[in-house]
This record gives sequence, C-alpha cells and structure tokens, in this order.
Amino acid sequence: MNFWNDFIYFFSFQDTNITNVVLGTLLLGFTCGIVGVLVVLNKKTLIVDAVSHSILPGICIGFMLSGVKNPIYLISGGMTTGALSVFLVDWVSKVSRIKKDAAIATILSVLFSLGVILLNIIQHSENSNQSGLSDFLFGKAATIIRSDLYVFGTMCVIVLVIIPLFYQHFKIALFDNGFAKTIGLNEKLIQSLISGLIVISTAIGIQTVGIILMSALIITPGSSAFFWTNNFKNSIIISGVFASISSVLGVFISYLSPNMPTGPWIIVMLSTIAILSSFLSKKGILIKRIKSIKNSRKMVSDNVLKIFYKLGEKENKMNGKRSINDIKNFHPIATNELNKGLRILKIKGLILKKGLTWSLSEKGILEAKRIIRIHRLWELYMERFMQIQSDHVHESAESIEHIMTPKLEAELLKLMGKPKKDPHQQIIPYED
Amino acid sequence: MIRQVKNPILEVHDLTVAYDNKPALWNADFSIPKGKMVGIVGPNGAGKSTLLKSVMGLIPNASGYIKIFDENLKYVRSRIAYVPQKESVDWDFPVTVLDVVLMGRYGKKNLFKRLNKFDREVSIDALKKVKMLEFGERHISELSGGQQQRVFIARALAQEADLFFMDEPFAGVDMASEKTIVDVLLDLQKEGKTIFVVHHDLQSAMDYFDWMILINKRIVASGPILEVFNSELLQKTYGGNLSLLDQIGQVFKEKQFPIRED
Repeated sequence: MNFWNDFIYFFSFQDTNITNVVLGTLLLGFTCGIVGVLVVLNKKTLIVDAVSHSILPGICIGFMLSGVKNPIYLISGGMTTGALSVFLVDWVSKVSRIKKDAAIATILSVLFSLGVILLNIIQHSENSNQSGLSDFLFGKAATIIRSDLYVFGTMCVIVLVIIPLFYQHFKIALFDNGFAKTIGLNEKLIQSLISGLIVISTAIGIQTVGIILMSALIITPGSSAFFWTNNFKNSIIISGVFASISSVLGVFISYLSPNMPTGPWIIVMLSTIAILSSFLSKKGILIKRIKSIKNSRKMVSDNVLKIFYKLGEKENKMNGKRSINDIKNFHPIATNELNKGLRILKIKGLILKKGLTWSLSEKGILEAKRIIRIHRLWELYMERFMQIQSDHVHESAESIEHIMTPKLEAELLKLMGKPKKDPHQQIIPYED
Repeated sequence: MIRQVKNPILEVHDLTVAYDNKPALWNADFSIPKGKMVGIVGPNGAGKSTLLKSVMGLIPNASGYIKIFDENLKYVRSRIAYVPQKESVDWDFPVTVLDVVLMGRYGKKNLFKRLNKFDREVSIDALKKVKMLEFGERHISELSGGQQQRVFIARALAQEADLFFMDEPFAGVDMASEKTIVDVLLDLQKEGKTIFVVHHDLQSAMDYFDWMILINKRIVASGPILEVFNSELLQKTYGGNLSLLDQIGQVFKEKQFPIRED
C-alpha cells in the first residue's frame, strides 16, 4: 500500500530533509502550544494576530538589507517589526481614545499592507534568491532546512527556559493581577515577558503555518487544553503536545501530496483536536449527553421499582409475582416506559422474571425501600423545616428521591430522627 | 471627627487619589492604632476600594503619603495581606482551591523558590480555618460565591501577615460563609493583628468593628465605633450634597490640570 510505504518512509527518518522538517515543526508546535496557554489566560489572543501580520514587513526588510534568505536576518527583521506592533498597540491605546481592539486592527492592517508592498517590490526585483519568500503567507514546512533548525532550536530553548523559570510569576499574575502586585511582583516585567514570548514563537512559526493562520497555532491548542485539566502546569504541557502532534501530522499530509500547503493542514488538525476535546473531555458535550441518558434511565427504573413496592405495600407481600397487567392496572404507566424500566431493573438484579411474571429480588426490596424512605422523609422535611403545605411536597420529593447521596441521606435521617409516617400518613420503611 | 493616634500602624497623610486626573478621594488624613478591626464604610462610589488600593500601591497617589508600620509600603509588603474583590479574577483559571491558597505563601517567599512541606501545612491549616479543607482539590469554578470568598481569605491567612486589607469580603456571601469569615477575623484580632474591611451594611457594622472610617469622597470620620457611629456623622456621610466637588473633579479631568502645584 502506497500510504503505508509513505508513512513508514516519513516516520522512519531515513531522509535527512524529512528529519529536519519533522524536528523543526515538532519543536515549533510545542513552543507555540505552551506560549498559547499564557496568551489565552492573559486574554491577549488578538495581539497574536497583530504580531504575525506585522512580521511580514520585517522579513522583507531583512531580506532587502541582506539580499539572501538567511533565517537569522529574516527572523530578526520579523521579530523587530513584530515587537514594534506590540509597542504601537500599547502606545496608541494609551495616548489616544482608540480602544485596544481597534488599535490592534489598525496597526495589523497598516504593517501588513506595508509588508505586502515590500514583498511585491522584492518579487519584481532582479534578485533571484527571492523565490519562496511568498511562502510566508500560507507557510511551507518543506522549506525548513538545517540552518533554520538551529535558529528555531535556539528560540525554542529560550521559551522553554523562560516559562519554567517564571512559572510562579505567570501563574500568580495571570490569575490575580492585583494580588500579584501586592506581593511585589513586577507586572510590567511579566507583561513584557509574555509579549516577548509571543513575538518569538510567532516569528519562528510563520515559515511553517504562515502569517494568516499563525494565531490559530498559538490560541487553539491553549483553548483545547483547558477541557482536559484544572491544573496550570498540565494545561501548558497538554497544549504543547496538542500543537506538536498537529504540526507533525500537518507536515505529513503535505508530504503525501506536495501541493498541499502545510499551515492550513496543521490548523485543520488542531481544530479537529479542539472539536474532539469539546465533545469527549470530562467537561465536554458527550459526557453531558451521557449523564442525561443515565439520569433518565435512573428515573424510569426507580419509578417502576416504586410501583412494585407500593403493590407489595398494599397486599402486604413485597416479593409477590406481578404480571404486566397487574402493574398497569395498579398504576398507569406507558408500556414502553414500563418495559424499559423492567429491562434495566432485571440487568441490575433488582427484579426477577419467572414466565410472564415479575417479582422484587432481596436486593430489589432493599433498594425500593431506600427510594420510598427518601421520598417520604423528604416530604416530611419540607413540611417541618420549609413550612410547605403537605399537598405541595410530593413533586419535589419525586426528583429528590433519585439523586439523594448516602451521605445526605444519613444527615437527613439524623435530622429527622426515625419518624414513622410521612405527611400523607404513609409508613416510612427502614432497613431493619 | 478624625481621631489621630500615637504610634499608628497605618498613617495616611493628606492623600488624594485620582483616576484619569479626576480625584476620587480628597485629602484623606487619618491614623489607625494597632490591633483594631476597622470598618471602612460609605455609599457606593465613595472611594472605599480606592483608599484600599492606594494604600496597597495598586494605584498611584496624586498627593500625600502613606506609612505602614512607620515605613514605606515596599519595605513591609511581606507583613501585609490584601484580599481583592472576588469579581476581580477569572474563576475559570486552571487552578484548584489549594493552588490558590498556596499562592499566599509567596508573600514571604522568593518566587523562584519551590514551596516546601511547611508551606503546604500552613496553607492546609488556612483552608481548615475557613472550613474549606474538603474542597482543596476542587477546581475554583465549582465554588459558590461565599466559598470563593473564603478561599481568598485562606490565601490571606497563608500569608501570615500582621495587617490585613479586605475589599468587600461580605459582598454576595451566604450567611454561613459570613459567619465563618467573621470568626476567622475575630481570631486574627485576638492574635494582635489589625484588619481593615470595606463594608457596606450599616446594620452589621456595629457588631463587627471596633474602629470605623466613614468615607464619602473624603474622610468624614475615623475613630472608635461608639464615637463615630452616630446619626450626625452618618448623615454627613450618606446625605451630604457633594455635587460641587464632583464638578470641580470633572474640570481637573478635562483640563488635565495638576492636582497639586508642586
């Protein structure tokens, strides 16, 4: 199979070019991912867009001054204009009435247009080295060569040293800025560090993902990570891993079909992870859906169990055998609901089936007693402690009986003593 | 009625604080003795939080100076704990309850150092005091308003400070939480600590505090609660018409004119 051959060839790193590209994007993805967490928590996501767009004129100037596509010149040019944009945004929003988001949009477009103009000038110049410079717009990982790798590596190392070193600073200042200042933390330093990290990671990222999609490489993994953890350190690591996996997969796809741009595929991978996170994680949509299904199953089966109990109570025979008709004649219930309830109860071993009749098992009797007990105790609680009329207590007890935890039940029992009857003069069953 | 004291723990001298060159608090001049539970009371927009933030160095002063323990703030930071309004932070931030309390330990510790077993013990003890120990591993977004406030108080306790500034610790808090917090504050006072509380409920103010600062754009009164808490001073705080003061403040802002000549 062609795909597997490609797959094996790609990931076995026989080809030094591929090794360079994979190593480069892995490092890059991880760096952008971990910076992303700080950016998202600092609510600075828009500034990333400003920086990435503003890097273009710097790259062009770097190229024009040096005349070669040396990564050191290009990246230092890019970082200079990138940093300039951060400074300009702060300065404009401080001295004028222009709000920060408007300042970002303005400066982004001004510097980006300047970049496009410069790019045009370069493309129409005599210099033959310029081919490929326009790859910065959408990114092309295949253009990563060994000398790029050294520059990337150095930048990544800087980021990977700064973040652990200032870990506590970031955590405290990003969570509670006011508190951070009162313990003597230098806010300006922290904000400049974060801006610096944004500039560095953006500058090394755009060769692979491109200017336009760069902010997604920083912001998406950070936002996805929060679905999986409540821990600051873990969210940094998870975000880094998400971004590096997506980057390598994006590179692999553009290796399979060389016409595919790398950047968009990396972002597609990242977005897939983001969507999956929002579905599958503990805070996700899927878990919510499962919970609601579980709840409805519990409600149906508890209610059927209660019918068995009440039938037993009436006839004074808890383990009596009941046919479907006995049940339906005693308490109106939809057939499909009844069948569903019976099925669930049987699986749980709470009822036994014999021929066409059903009866409570030992375990079922205990469980039925528990539900009825909670229901009736709660009615009594509402009447005594909440001063609610006894003809209004039933509805709320109907839902409480399904969700009462053993701990709260013990508390309820302690509070109520062991009353014999509920407000409707029905006997409250206890285990002994 | 401003009662100046000898050997104050906090001395505020001719303090004016402005936002965008519009004064929010004028010429505050008062001093507070050690070991008091001090209520800072006044209407909305009176400058209560402004006073606290200014004392904590969170906003610049337009004039005047503040001395804490007879020193400049920057030399005594480690002895002071500040509890901001709980709305000032993002409660979705990825940290647990215990993480937040542990942050308090960095009040006395270099931020480049790791926390040790002792720091953990102090923090767990603080959580115990605010009755939040069982919530230690919970994410902070899972808490009620009162519980969030108690976490903030626990973080302040973990700072092991001598002086506490709390901005509206009873705002939006359930009765059980309020009771817990009051008990914690009384314990602190018994240990000889001084506590400042921004508060807006006049009814409970009488029960909670033994010293009171009445404030409305200026300090109306500062003194022992029995001397300050009377209808005349309360009338001055809540009733007085200060529209002229407000208008001149607006002029300062429009002209961006220096609030002090020097």
